[in-house]
Amino acid sequence: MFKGQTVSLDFALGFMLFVLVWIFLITQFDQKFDDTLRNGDLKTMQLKSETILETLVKTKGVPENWEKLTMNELEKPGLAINDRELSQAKLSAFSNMASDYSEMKVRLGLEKYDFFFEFNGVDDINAGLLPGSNANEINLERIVIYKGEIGVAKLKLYRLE
Amino acid sequence: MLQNSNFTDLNEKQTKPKHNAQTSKAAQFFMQTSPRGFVFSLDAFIAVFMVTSALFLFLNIAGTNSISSAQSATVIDDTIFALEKTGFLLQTLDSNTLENSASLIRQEIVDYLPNGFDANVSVTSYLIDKEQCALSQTFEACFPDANKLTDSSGGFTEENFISGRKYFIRKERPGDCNVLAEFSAFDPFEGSGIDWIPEKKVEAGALFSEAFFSHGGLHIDFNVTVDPNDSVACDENVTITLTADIDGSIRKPIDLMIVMDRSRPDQNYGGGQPEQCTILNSDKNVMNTFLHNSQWDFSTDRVGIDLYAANADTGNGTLVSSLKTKETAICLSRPDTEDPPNNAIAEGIQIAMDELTKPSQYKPESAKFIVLLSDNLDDSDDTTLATEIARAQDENTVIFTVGVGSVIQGNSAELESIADQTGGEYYFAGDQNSLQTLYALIANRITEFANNSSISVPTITGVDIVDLGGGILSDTNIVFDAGTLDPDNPWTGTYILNFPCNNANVCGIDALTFPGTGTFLTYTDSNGVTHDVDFNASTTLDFKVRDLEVQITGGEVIGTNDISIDVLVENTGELDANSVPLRFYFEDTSTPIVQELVVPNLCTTFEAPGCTNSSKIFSGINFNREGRVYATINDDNSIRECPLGNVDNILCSGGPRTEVFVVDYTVWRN
Repeated sequence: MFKGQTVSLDFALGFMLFVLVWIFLITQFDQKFDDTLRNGDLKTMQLKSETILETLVKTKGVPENWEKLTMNELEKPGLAINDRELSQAKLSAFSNMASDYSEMKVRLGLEKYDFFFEFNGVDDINAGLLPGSNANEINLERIVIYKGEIGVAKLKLYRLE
Repeated sequence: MLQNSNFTDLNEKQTKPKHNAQTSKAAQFFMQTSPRGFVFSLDAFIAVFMVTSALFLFLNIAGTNSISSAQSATVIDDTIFALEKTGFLLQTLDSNTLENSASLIRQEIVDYLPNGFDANVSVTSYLIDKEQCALSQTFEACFPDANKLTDSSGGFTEENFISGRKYFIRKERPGDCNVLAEFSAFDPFEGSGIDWIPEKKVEAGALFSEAFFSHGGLHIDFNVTVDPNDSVACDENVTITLTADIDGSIRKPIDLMIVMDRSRPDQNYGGGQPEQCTILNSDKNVMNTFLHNSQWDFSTDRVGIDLYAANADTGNGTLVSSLKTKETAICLSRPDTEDPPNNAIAEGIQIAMDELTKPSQYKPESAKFIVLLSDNLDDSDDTTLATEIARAQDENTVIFTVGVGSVIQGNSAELESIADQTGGEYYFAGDQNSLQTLYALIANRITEFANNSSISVPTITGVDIVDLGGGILSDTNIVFDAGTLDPDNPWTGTYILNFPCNNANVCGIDALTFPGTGTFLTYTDSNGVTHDVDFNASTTLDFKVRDLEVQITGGEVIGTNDISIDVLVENTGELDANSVPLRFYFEDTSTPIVQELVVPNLCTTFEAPGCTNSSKIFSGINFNREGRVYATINDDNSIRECPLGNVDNILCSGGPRTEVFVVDYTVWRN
């Protein structure tokens, strides 16, 4: 009888410890899993923003003379005359056409995310929208040439929480 | 028991394949001594194992937002790319020492990288070895380590760095001689405001025009004579004679009113007979004789007649330029048959003034006179003498008074006063010729005089004034005091100039004009007004100068410290030039002479028709160094000639030697 009583107590203690650990593990796992998902999203945003900024500073866009066309005719914006050398006309056109924000997001391939582009150099030019509240955001910068001088092209990609 | 058996089985299943020998021994110990303790220990072990595993898993799941190495590489690549594309790297290497270049490049890289980055930059240069390069034509031979120089900036870390290398080559440009036009054309008259020597000769006579001046009707003839009279050479004395002569034949026109007193007795006045102007010494004959003075010019002069006795009226008083009409008017005028109650002199003057100032015939350019005859004192009742005298003064009208008869002979004060107050003179007419001098008086009043006159002749800096000829030098002008000029006293002045051959101001001039633009006469007229009159006579003569010029016409860099230039020396003047030295200097004409040649005599076609050696070409003059070469002629002033164009220069040099630069950079994140 004493033996059985002892075994039951051991079992109860062991089971209780197991349940506590299990609950702790499940809770922590859920939390970390959410963090992981969010970090994964940030990584996706990072990759996307790197690709977009790379495209903007290294290509002329599609079609190449898109700055003279309308938004409907624009397929993919690119701001470069040459590799990492930006065009004044394309920068200006990009800033103007981005007033049609949702359409420009589509052209940039950013359906799920929002963006704000900023160029600081001989001229200061921006396009897109700044985040109005807390958001997960990725900020990238590229050193470029504009009008023979060095400037910085910045892209902020974000998703509101 | 069943549960206990299951735990055992479980433990057995779990431990047998998984635990090592030591663990198995411990399990056996618990199994042998206390089966309950064994179960508890196994549970605890499992729980601890699971907790540890979960923690390990969580740690691994936790991500990081720090910048990745790929991003770092992109940022660094962008920065180096931008510095290269904007020319910063090239410019920095080209204009700085290696040490400064490394420091500046590193600083620029760090400035453009995000916070937390640091960099090390090393710059190495390899200077070309031309000889070995020509022989072996390999990179190692062309740029040997013996010619290698390195400098660096910044610290260094060996963990997680990104590095790269950039190559630049500065190629040596071909040697070149740039012919410079450092000495621009020189204008000796620029800013002087004196244009008295025209650049181009003006044809003789073109500047001679008839003298005519409107200043108060003064007519002055100017003239100039120059010795020599065909051409002037530098270093030769030139005698210039100027004259100014007032032309007395031109005078103002005259408007004259003759105011006659018809209260005179018939015998003396001439009565109303056809021969009234033939009565000897009558008043009419006196005035008619005056009117017949040969110096009247009735093409411009006008005469009117008015009469007075108790009252005044016009005796054909309109001013006309007809002697016959006025003669008739004088001779036919009728005297009063008896003495009038009054002698209205003032009223006579009033009518005369009305006529002289009548708008329909008023001539402002005419000098206005009244000749008044009277045998008595004034007792006008319609106006007063004071009023009419004031009016005459206002109208610049001169009244000459002529007294006749015994009353006036005894009391001429009133008539003298009238004349005095209006600038005229009083005469007593004893006979018909008593007014012979009156016209001469009037002629004096209508002929202008040039008082306090002076003549100013400009000169230029550097011209030698050999003789001022009585003038004085005031600033850059020779000023002659001409005093009072009138038809009988013209002015003449003579001065002597010399134009030195070695004066830069005379270089390039091929003609001289005397006395030159800017010469003028200043005088004060009879009204006290000062006038400036252009001295409009001039003479232009050819001017001959001696002018040697040197020009470096070409140059060539043959090799390192080996240059050759070509020089032309030319006599561009009109006078022959004797032999002069041609000297060469480096960097500055104050440095020692590096080479000297002799320029032979150079003639000109002006002095030696058919002359063929007016210039000399010196080709292929060699120098064993590079730099700016100066060529000068006559810098010892061995001959007197124009000093302009005596120096020329050329820069002959090769560029920097070919050099390879290697920029190594290492960037890391602290």
